[in-house]
Amino acid sequence: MLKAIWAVGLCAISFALAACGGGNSSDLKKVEKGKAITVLRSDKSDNLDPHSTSSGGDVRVLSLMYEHLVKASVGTAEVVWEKGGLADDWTINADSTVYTFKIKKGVKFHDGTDLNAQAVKKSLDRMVLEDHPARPMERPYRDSYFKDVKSVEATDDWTVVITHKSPNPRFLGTLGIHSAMIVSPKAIDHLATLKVEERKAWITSNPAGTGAYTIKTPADYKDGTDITLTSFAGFHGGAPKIERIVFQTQQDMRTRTQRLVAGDVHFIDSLDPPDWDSIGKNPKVTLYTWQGQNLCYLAMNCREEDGHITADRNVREAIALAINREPMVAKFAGRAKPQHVLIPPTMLGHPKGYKPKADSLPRSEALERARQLVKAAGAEGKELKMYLPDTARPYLLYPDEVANFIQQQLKEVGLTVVLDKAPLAELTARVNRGDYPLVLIGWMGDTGEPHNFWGPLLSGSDGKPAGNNNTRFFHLDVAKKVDAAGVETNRTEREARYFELEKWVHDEFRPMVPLVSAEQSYAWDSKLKGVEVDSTGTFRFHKAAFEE
Amino acid sequence: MRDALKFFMRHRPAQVGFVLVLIVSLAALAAPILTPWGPRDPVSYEFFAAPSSGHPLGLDGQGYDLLSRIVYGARTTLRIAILATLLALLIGGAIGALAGYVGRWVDLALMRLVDFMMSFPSFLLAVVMVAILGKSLDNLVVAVGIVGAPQFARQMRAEVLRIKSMEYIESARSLGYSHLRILLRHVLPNCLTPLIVLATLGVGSAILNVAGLAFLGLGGDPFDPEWGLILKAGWNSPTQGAFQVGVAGLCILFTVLGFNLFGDGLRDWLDPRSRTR
Repeated sequence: MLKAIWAVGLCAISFALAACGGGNSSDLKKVEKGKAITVLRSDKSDNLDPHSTSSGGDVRVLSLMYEHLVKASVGTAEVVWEKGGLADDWTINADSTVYTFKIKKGVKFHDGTDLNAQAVKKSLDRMVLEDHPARPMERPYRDSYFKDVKSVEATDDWTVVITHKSPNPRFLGTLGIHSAMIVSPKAIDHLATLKVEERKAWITSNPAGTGAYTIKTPADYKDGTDITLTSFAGFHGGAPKIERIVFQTQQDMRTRTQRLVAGDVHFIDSLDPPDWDSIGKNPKVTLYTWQGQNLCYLAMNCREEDGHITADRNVREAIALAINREPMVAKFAGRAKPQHVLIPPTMLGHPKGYKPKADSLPRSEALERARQLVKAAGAEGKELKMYLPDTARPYLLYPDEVANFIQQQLKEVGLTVVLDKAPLAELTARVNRGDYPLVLIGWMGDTGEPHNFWGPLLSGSDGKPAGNNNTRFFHLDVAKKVDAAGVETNRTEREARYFELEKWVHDEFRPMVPLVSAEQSYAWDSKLKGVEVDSTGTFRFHKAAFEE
Repeated sequence: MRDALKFFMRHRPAQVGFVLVLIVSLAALAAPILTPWGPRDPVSYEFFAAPSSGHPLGLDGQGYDLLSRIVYGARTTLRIAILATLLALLIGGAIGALAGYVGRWVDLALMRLVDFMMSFPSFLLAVVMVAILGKSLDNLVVAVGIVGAPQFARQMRAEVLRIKSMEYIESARSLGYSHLRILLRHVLPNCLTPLIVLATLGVGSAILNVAGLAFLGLGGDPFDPEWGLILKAGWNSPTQGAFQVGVAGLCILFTVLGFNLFGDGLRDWLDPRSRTR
């Protein structure tokens, strides 16, 4: 009752505050019609520090403002790293330990600084060096991607040499992820003067990259759901025709589609798969779909110290046996493939047609066996807390529905699942506290290399699981094999090693239940031409314009 | 009693209202007997399957039998709406009775509180309250109950003021009865009839509020059988869920209509002025 009284009081205050806000007119109205794009997306942003984030909602915005040394291919199913980024050319030595990059000339950062080899070194060092003076609070990608970099040197004004401690044939892909975006040296110097906890907030509203768009004044970043980007006149690819890009958030798929069709907004993501056929026929809309390099999976906490019943391999096996992917695929209207292994279907290292033993049993037998395992482990009737994200993800368009299927299916074998819905930004901290026996989540590949999945999701370093490893599974032999596969320079041999890992880890340890790999979608106003979507699913507007 | 029956026989809207309320109440009470499926028994993976002989309303987006969920939904929705109305009656009644009977600064303070609450859009107030209390159907009861309280407080106060000035109360006081006894034994019983009418009408608006809040995603588990949640689940699937939205919407419409007509009939019967017609 006391709580209710509080609630009434707080209501009063919040209404009063709401009344005081508002009233600041946006400059948007000054922009000519046809020169601004509104992007209505499912995600929101958390921070726009390339070195600090690990969320897709941040990366899509960052990709318009910052660039990499390499560039992902456009129009291929597999990700190929090509020239066209901030490096004109590169050479890699025979054992893939030394990468030499020729830096592009005539490129300016948003803050007016010129790009050169020293600037590239400074930016990469912020990710690579353990105690960099300007480092952000957390660098979730550092352990899995940058730890083996021995040094980054600028040998002259236009040459950068990156040396590794051990062979690293996948490093071009690493340079293509957001953590390797190039940030202005002036901004990094400024970051070093700030307190460590203030750095990501500053760089978020004062971006300093080389991309076609930037945030002009800190007020243009109102919050993660209302961001206005302004074109950068000094962009090395020529000033963009579209002057403003406004990012707004709308979690409801239906509303996103309706607003695009109504012409209120110009670009949306993640459309409802049952709608794709009808939307594709609408002349006002251009629909773009592709098989994403993503995996939706159920992570099971394997760590003894965390004290969950899922630490028992037999319980994990039982959960894997109980899961039925059929309703999940049906929910996606068939626009998702059932997944039985870690690596998604369009990627190197995906063992086509292979299924772990548990996934090959007929349904009734699998359920019977699962019940026995649960009973034998003394886990019958036990409660399992399951995390699920509070917003839809491209690989998990229906978090509530899929969570409900899992609840039902595990109930059939005697396990009770209690749902805990929370923002994605809190997931890593909670997982690393050992809060969850089960985590319903997914992963989107961004380098095209299997290591991009194996490293962060099922491996770790120094005897500890990696920060994004929601299963908390760490096995020294697995980690060694993952590392060994990652440094194999021969592509065929490398793929064979990943096949071997797939065929071993799921049967032997069963740390996760891979669920589905979904097709993804964007749609935009059909008058908008020149939108570029690359093979990693990144969209860019620097060549876009409205045509009548 | 015969008088009531006679009135009722002549009052067509009240009959319609009564029948609607009766149907929904019976469905709510007998849900497990009436339905072959539980509200959360997965039937098949043909989501949004069209109506068939086995499933007269087809399946919903999660592969559940829609008819079963609608019937169980009557149970959940009615339970929450009635509990919320009772809560509103209790809180509002207590405030109104106190304000009316004690008068002076107590009256002033309590009525300003009521005015204060009534100056917010009630639905928004409920939204913010659930957001603070936490999303669950139980919290909907609290939110809708509190939001509904002011109108009961006003009605109660008016009744108490009217009755307080009557001679029999004066005589009770001169007999030396305690205030509590006068209030409980002599004032309140005579205030109840208009409040009962108000409560019947209140159930209708409580159903709307509950369904609205659940629709906005404040109902906790999105797969609980509750009409607002069922409506929302259909709404989430633009192309396929339209039928489900329609069914749940009609259920809400006819139930609210039933309570309103029935409540109007009750009022007409209890109000001597309109009975002379």
